[in-house]
Amino acid sequence: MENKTYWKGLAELEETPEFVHERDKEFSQELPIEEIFNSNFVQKPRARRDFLKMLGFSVTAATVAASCKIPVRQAIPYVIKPEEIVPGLANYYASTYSDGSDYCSILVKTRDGRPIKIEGNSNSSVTRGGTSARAQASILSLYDKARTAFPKKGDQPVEWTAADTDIKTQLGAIKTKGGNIRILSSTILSPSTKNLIAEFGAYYGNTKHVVFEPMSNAGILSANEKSFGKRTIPGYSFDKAKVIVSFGADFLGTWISPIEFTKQYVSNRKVSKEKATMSRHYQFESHVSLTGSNADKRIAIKPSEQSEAVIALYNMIAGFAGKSGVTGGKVSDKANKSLNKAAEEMWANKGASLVVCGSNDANCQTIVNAINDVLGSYGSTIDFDNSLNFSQGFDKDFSDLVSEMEAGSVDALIIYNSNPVYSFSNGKKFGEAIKKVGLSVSFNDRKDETTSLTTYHLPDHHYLESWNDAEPKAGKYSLSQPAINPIFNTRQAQDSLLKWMDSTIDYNNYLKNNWEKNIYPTQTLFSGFQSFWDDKIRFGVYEKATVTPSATSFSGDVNAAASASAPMSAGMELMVYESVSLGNGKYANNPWLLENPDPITKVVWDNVLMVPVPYAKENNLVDGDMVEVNANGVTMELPIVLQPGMANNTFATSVGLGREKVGRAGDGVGKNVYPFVSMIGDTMSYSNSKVTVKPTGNKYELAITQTHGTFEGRNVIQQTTLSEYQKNPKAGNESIEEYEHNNPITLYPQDIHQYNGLRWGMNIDLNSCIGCGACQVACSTENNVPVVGKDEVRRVHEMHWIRIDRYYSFAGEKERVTQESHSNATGLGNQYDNVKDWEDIEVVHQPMLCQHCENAPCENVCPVAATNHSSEGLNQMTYNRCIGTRYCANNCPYKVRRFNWFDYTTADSFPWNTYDKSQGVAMMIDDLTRMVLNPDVTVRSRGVIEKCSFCVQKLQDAKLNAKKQDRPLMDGEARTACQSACPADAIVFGDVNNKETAVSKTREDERNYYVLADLHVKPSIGYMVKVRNNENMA
Amino acid sequence: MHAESVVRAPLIYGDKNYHQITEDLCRPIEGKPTRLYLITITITACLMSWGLFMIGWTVWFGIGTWGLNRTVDWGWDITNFVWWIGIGHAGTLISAILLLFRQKWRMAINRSAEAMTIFAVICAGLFPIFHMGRVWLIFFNLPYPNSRGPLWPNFNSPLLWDVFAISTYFTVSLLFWYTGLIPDLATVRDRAKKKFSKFAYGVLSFGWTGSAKHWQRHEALSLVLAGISTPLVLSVHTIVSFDFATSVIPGWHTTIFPPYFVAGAIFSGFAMVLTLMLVARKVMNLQEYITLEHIESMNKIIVLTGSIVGSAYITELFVAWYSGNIYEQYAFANRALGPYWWAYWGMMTCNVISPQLFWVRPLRRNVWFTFFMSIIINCGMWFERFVIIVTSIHRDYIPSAWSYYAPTYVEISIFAGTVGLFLTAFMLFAKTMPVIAMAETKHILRISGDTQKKAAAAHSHSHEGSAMSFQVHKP
Repeated sequence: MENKTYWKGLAELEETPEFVHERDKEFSQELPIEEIFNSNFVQKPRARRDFLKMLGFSVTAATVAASCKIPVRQAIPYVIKPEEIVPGLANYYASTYSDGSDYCSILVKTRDGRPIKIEGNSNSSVTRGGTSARAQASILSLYDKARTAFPKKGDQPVEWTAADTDIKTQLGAIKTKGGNIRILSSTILSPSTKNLIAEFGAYYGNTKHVVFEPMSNAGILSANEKSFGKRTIPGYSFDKAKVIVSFGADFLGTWISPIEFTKQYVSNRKVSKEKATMSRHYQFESHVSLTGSNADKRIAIKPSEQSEAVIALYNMIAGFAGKSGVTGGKVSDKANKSLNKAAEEMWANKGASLVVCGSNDANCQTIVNAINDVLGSYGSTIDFDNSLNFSQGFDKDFSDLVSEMEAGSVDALIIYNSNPVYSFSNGKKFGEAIKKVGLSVSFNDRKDETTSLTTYHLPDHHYLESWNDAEPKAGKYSLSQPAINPIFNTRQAQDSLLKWMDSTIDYNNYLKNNWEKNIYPTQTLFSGFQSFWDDKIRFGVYEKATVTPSATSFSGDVNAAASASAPMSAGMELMVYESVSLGNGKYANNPWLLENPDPITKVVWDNVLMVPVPYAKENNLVDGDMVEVNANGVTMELPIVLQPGMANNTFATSVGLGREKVGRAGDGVGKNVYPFVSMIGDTMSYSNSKVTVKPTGNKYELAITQTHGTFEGRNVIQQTTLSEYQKNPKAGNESIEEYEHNNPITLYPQDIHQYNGLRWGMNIDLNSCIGCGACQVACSTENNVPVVGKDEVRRVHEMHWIRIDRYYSFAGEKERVTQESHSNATGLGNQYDNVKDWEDIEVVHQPMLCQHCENAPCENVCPVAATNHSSEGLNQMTYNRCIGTRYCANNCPYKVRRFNWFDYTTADSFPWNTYDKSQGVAMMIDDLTRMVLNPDVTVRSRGVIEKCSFCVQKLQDAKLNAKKQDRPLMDGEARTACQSACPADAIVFGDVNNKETAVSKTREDERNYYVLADLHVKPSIGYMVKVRNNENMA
Repeated sequence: MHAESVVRAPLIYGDKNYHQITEDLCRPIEGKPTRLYLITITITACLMSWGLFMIGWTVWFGIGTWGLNRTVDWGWDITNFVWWIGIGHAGTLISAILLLFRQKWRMAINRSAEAMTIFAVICAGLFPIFHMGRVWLIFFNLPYPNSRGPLWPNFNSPLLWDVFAISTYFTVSLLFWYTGLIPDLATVRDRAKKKFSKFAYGVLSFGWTGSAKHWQRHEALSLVLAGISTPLVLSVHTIVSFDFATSVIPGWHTTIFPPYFVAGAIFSGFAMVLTLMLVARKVMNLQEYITLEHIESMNKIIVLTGSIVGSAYITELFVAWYSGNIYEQYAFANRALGPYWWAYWGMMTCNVISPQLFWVRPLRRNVWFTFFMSIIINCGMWFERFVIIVTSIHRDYIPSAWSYYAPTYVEISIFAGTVGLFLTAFMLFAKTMPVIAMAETKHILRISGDTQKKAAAAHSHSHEGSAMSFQVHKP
């Protein structure tokens, strides 16, 4: 074939310049390779392909440059460094948290001169290192802006000297005319203060000290006076009791000395192979208390049935003892059966049983005393030689004071840490009566309901700014020392009294003198007072040896008490109880406590009416309905919560909220239910009969942190009974064998994490945990966990790193019902359709926090590796790497990861964008309140995930200490905040690589199980099977 | 040249020639916008602006403005993301897979389906970006060299795979769409009379002259992009499904997800193409180009993918029961009977039951019914994503943490905003670019045009011999 040339047109054939130009355009431009390698390339015009290179480089450079810049905040060093303060290191001071009937021996952690955390003081034999939620949260009250910052006369500021002069003149005039001076206070634990008040009384004459306790135990005081001639509260030993019967006494939550009782109680609830025994605990109560939720057997009785039940028990015990019974004692069959069982068991354990009763009725308490007497409890589980000084309020004294004031016969009233206008059932009456008092002075820390009616308001120091002492239990003294200079222009109340007595010394010296005179001589160890004093200041406590209890003879009249007891009434009843978190209302402005869920209802930022479920079903009521409660002549609208376990004809609500003048966080939160408290005889009664409840048709959105009540039969909770456990220590934990068998089978590489040194692990004993919530507050304090406020909790945005899950189970055909029905078309709320007996519930509390899984599902889903695994087994969060996709939170099977939905802390880089400035948030972002923040822990900004870190800052601190001393870390040296706070010692923490540590030993225990072990995420937290001693309790 | 059977219905009706096609398809671009058009686009633009404002609101105040909570950390955001990504799938499928299967009927719809893909992916992309707590640190997702160690993203995370999958998908789809547009833009440029139009289309058409070399490169590039796109059809939604499948959450942790998600994506994508095209067809008088045959073909794909999705639902239920896994069993019982039962039954009705009606031919060819069904299917597919995401996590392992989720006005507004964005973008596209690929339609005119087919048939009847020789001469 010959080589022919084809052409499409003459232009192509002739190759005209126009054609050549067009043709060349069709072909790509040659790459300027030679030019690039030429030396003068830089001067050349940029080639097309360089553009992309330039673009790529400049974008990358800009990105790198833009991501590095972080604004620098200046820190100013000390010009003259104070002694003892090393910036960055914490100092601990032993002190005492004592506020009315709240008591805890504590260590105050201060950083750079500001207290930031409360720890328990293990030197105290009363609280033994335990704390309560209130003790933990009390530190926030120090930085409360609602505290009055300077002395006031009426609403006007006044100078201290001017106030002193005026008050002294007036008191002098009263003294001259022989007028009456009254000092009204809450219970005072301080022996020095009591001395001072006595001296003040002697100085002015006609002075009486009245103690008012809103949640009173005057019934016990009065009964003890009648029975034993001693108007005191005895010491109780729950640890020595093998059988405990409590009639509505919430001794783990609020009754008399809860931290002490928790320590005692729990010591006899822990079981092990070596000691496979535990106490037996019957609780006869009307609402579900924290104590009741821990009982082996809860029997729901209505409030008016309580005295009858106590009489019935007396008759049974008396029967065993061959004594004659008393009249009364008619109770329901169900209660009767359990009472019989309890009576038999107590009689069998004579001398090792204990009956306590929460009633404020002296007759009822007299019968309780009689029972304890017959059982030989006095001298063993109860003793008057180591009596308790809590709850000294004698209701009649207070009602007499009100009458005196109304009659105009009180010339001066000095109020110290008491707020009856709020906390007295007829506060209005008290408020009116104050106006008839010539001179009224309040030492309260804020302009509260009562203080705003007094002539003078001379604010007291916060306890962390004060010198003081306390004697919670006979012979057990503890000291308070200031941990910070007074923040405001306040003055300690005791100093004011000293000033008015023309004393030249201040209270610090008064205290020392008192100790030198009265306490120092009782010891022999120290030969000089100063060395004694220094030592006690350092250790926080001074304790005389415990007195061997002597037998006490009972001389009460049981028959009279029984016949004076009111019979059980018909119809619906209402009881008023003290909130575990908030107490009697003093702390209603404390956001940490307001946001600490109620241990049973899990409601925060509100008090509600607990309604028995059958009643609610009958009346078509659901959670959040508003009802009008009418009792004691008072009508009040309250939101309701359907509460399983309530006695079928009882409503209950808690005091502690409904403050009007307490501060930004607490004003108007909840309702004040003190008006439901009535005065019966000489004592206040906390229950009402003839109660009517009427739905108002209004709806209220409750802030509840847990809306599903059962654990759905899942292996989240493992439990067994004591006899099963005695037979087989693996009882309740049988499934572990299956997991141990299956777990090594995996497609993934084994042992990707090497733990060569330490490996942190935790163990939580479900038998010990009582669900009090102290750990939650301690965690928030230690880790700067933000408070989010009521609206945010309603939107399920709470931030707690540790939560306490509360699960119910119900009586079923054979086994207990732990599942709810599927057919829940209403969204939230419990669906216990198949429950027959609403009164019979069992409760389990389970602290839930980051499990620090070895195969953590959160770790592999984070696109930016912001959450990762440490070489010590911690699952750690890198806040500044987190971009907030929240995938980790979705993929967490335990749902313990928390997202910063808003700028809760003002740590955000955007200014002025705090979305919700209401309540707690506004308080917590205040500059003063932010002083409570722990400088060791990053304050998280908006848009990042946070979660439990096992208090990594404390672990690092402990490791560093050990390293400085050139020794290995000892077991128990590194403690998490939740662990230290726990009054029940439910949490064990340490190195699991070392087989000798306490936590390693718990892992070897047959009761140890892992929540959701079948997921093979390998959690670092083991739980101990809950053992209930609940067989044959009728 | 190859011929098509006369039995096969034509794809272009009416007496069309090349010029007529150009006229028909350029008319909407060259005319003045109608009143209806202006009103509609104003509404959609307002919707879009409101959504963008709400995005700004979210960035300023935080994700707390949404209804998400401690238990349900993804809600409408990721539901909408998956939904929009799914919608985008039709474009890729039509461009790539139908191209490889030589389905000529794709010519009428591929342009707008591809455009829809682009806009849907933009809408989809907004959600994972703005659902981040700290969106300003989005570049942490990218593996760029840095001075932090260097610190790389976590290559194990499905979210990171998403970043790559979606950015690739977007880039390839955009290139594919634009490559196809170039000859048509050049046509519009050549017809443009106004100076600005001439300039703008001139720039956009990259100096296309229609020379043989241009066409050769254009074809080659289209083929390469089709090759790249084909695996993308399968991979993108597979990777999106990994967001759930690789987790430990009952109801998410499922190996069936990749095929199930891809089928669902095509299902919803076709529904959205139908929704848009049925409107465009009517408004822009394109009945002769988008024929009942097109609609019927798409409806057939809807029946197929709908049935796959339905089987997947039933398989999931079976596996939940058969596995003996109590969490899985609870998750599925909770879907059907729990607080979100309405979403589950909405999904079942819209996705499983209603598409089966398309087995009936008259319904498949009924424009109004098809339009109605396309809306139903898109609702159903939205429900599906909502059911998977929200009902699975709102009640997972630990009962104490269970909660309920409902969106806030902010989330609803952002979703409405993306619908506004999508429609605005599509309307701008329809007004400025040919909604039907002109050049490609011209390719098939000779074979599938009504007149041409009839002429060919007539020709072959009168000259049977020549028809035979035509066959013989075929290479």
